[in-house]
Amino acid sequence: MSYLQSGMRSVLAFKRFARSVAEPSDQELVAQALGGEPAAFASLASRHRARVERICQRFFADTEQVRDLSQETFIHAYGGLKGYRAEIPFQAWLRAIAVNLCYDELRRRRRRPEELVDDFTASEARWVSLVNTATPEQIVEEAEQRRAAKLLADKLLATLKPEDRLVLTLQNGEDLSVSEIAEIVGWSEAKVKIRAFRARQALRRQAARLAQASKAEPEQ
Amino acid sequence: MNCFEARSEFVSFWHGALQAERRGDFLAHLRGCSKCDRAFRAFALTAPMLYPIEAAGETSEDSAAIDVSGGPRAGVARTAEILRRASVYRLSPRRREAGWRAVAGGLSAVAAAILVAYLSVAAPSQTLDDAISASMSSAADPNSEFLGQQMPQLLQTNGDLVS
Repeated sequence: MSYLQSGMRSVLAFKRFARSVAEPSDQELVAQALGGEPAAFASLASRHRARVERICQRFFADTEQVRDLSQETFIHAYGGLKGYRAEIPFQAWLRAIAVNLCYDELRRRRRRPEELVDDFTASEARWVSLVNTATPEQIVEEAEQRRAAKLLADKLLATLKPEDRLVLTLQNGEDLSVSEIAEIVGWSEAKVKIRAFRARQALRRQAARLAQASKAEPEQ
Repeated sequence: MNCFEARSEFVSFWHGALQAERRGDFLAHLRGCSKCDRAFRAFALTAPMLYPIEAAGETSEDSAAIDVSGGPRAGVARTAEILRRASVYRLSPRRREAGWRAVAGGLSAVAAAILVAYLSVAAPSQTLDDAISASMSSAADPNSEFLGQQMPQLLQTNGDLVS
């Protein structure tokens, strides 16, 4: 089995290598786009679209919103292509644009007051109850199928301050280090650490409140 | 498996990426450690947003609107679509209206010039109606209109906005 897996891995690595040889690099495409070839930018967008959408999905549950933000990211990227410096990977540059757009959108939205967490729907209540009682395997299995799981997670994260949510999402979802986050959003590392700490504290508080609320309000 | 190791495996477990043996160790640890069990349940509340399981596939249908696969020609058309959207998204209504008015004015002027030029050199046997319909159909060609008039303007506007 492990031979098969390592064989598959080698094949995939070879495919990646062959693709990298055959296809132009991001930097080459950027140079072509700057030289007046719009098709080169289209190739860049095609290459990075899924990744940009994934970043936006970590911030917003609404599909329409995710689509708009990823679109906006490419529009900003196209407009600012002249300012792109080749020493930064194009993907990281794009991520910084997407993250800043998501942060702007978080700030534009009105933050939900904490009390709203108690006001969850029946399906969300069932999900909370399941998280509190089911086995870890069942939780993961069910989470894939339940839209309520995502909506509740969004609701829960929406109780955080935009800057707390930003840091938490980048640190956990994107697996970025404190210094990387500081660089993307232009804050000091100390501020990022404080925000991360406060975000975790607030989330723990909210999770405990949810658990309490679901016990008080038995499954319907 | 200790608590630190167990917590570092939350994401892998969530994505079903743990090997059977490791997964067994992880679950055994959660069964025996109430703190990690609670931590995992708290993690599961936000994980659907932070670690979406179907992250890439969910919006692929919607984003097909600017799908940029399908060859260089399709790429050009789609980039034009991005640029068009850029102008729609970013311009204020006042500027957008002024821009469209300028485009419409320019197109009318070009159409009028073509009409006059054509009429002055048209064959005498051709009727006036034929000449007008022929020139109007060439002016209304969406591709020539876009590439000739709107595309440079949109590029210019987009550049102005960003700068």
